[in-house]
Amino acid sequence: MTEPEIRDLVAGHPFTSGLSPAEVDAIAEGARVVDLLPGEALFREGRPATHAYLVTHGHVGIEVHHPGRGSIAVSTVGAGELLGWSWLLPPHAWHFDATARSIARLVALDATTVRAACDHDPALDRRVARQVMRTMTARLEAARHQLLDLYGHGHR
Amino acid sequence: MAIAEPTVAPLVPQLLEVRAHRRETADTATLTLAPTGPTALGDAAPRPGQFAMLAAFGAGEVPISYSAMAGHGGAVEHTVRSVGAATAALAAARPGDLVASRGPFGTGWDLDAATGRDVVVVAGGIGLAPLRGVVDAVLADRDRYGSVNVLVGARTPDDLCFAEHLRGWSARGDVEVAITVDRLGDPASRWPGAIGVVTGLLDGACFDPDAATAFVCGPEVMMRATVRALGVQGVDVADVQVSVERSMTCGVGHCGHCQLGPVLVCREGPVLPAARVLPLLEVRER
Repeated sequence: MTEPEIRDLVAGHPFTSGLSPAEVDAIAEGARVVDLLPGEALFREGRPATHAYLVTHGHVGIEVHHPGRGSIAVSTVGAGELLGWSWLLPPHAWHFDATARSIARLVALDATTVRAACDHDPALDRRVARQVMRTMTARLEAARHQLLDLYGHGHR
Repeated sequence: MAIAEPTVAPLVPQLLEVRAHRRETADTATLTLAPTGPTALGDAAPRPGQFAMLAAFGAGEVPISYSAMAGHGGAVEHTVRSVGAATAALAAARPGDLVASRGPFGTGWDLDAATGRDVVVVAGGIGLAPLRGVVDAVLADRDRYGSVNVLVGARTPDDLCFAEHLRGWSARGDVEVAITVDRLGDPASRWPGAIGVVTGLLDGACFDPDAATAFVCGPEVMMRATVRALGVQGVDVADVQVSVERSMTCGVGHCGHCQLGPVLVCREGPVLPAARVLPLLEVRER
């Protein structure tokens, strides 16, 4: 895939909605496409979070490795979503594992490039931070609802 | 939505014979029930979204939605989750057993409101049971509607009801079916699909929010979250219908057990406009 094609993928992803073409160019510099097969690992807990991943196709599972029980998928991230935010905040290390659950395509944004672009442009920094916060808010609400075990008790 | 008029002899149960029992999950079964004699229902054949008061002899009577409408010989289907004495007895009923039924009661889903529009069905857990009739009716008259999305959330892959129907709908090609589970349950599960809450499926659904009608049923927290998420997508709350579960007892608005603020759910509901019922659901109950 050519650089302009990758740039278009980034521009068309919901994560970059509201960003100007110049801002998209700034964060898409050095981006690459990652194709995964089902079961293929994308990253592992504790490893450096060097990229921000924009899922464009398929599902990637967020997993926790539990000794004796193996990897337990706790949620999935699908097309149109941002996968991971550990790249944004120190110590820039993943807190979970990520493994493809289907054929998946992602755009990997270089985290150093994105952070540098944000440091250089406070307006971009705010917009990127808001998008990440939007993702975190949605995941937090989802996690709270999952904890409630809504379908587990008494519902007839 | 109009207030439902009581059926003929609404307090007189009708005997129904269990013709088939289909195990959906470990605690949920679908019963096919047919009249044992001439039916007094007449024009009161059930519509999607309505419910009946089903009784298991010696165990009690409970409100249960119709999960499939009248078929051959007036047979209907009810999907029952075993959560108490009466529902446990009903879920355990086998072909040849008799149960008692009063109804149909309540309002149904307003399918006319979706004519010419995109249809979004959002079901949580056994909330898919009262919505199954919506999907069946829409697919039976497919050209009348725009895109059709069926979004289903279940507790675990093993708790998914109507798996065969979901596969059948998905295989048609003219309806998008998306399923998610809250958790895998068994870590060794081979579930290949999404894990997360049902509202997360809305992001991947293709519909025109300005011309979509949504039908929502599930636990109240799930329905509140879904209506909010539909709003974020741009769907007007006036275009959302929800089915509310309350302690229906008489079924005809006399006893007041199902009262939700000014609404007698058994008569004005269980299907209600989200704009009307949501403020009532936000009132804190003891």
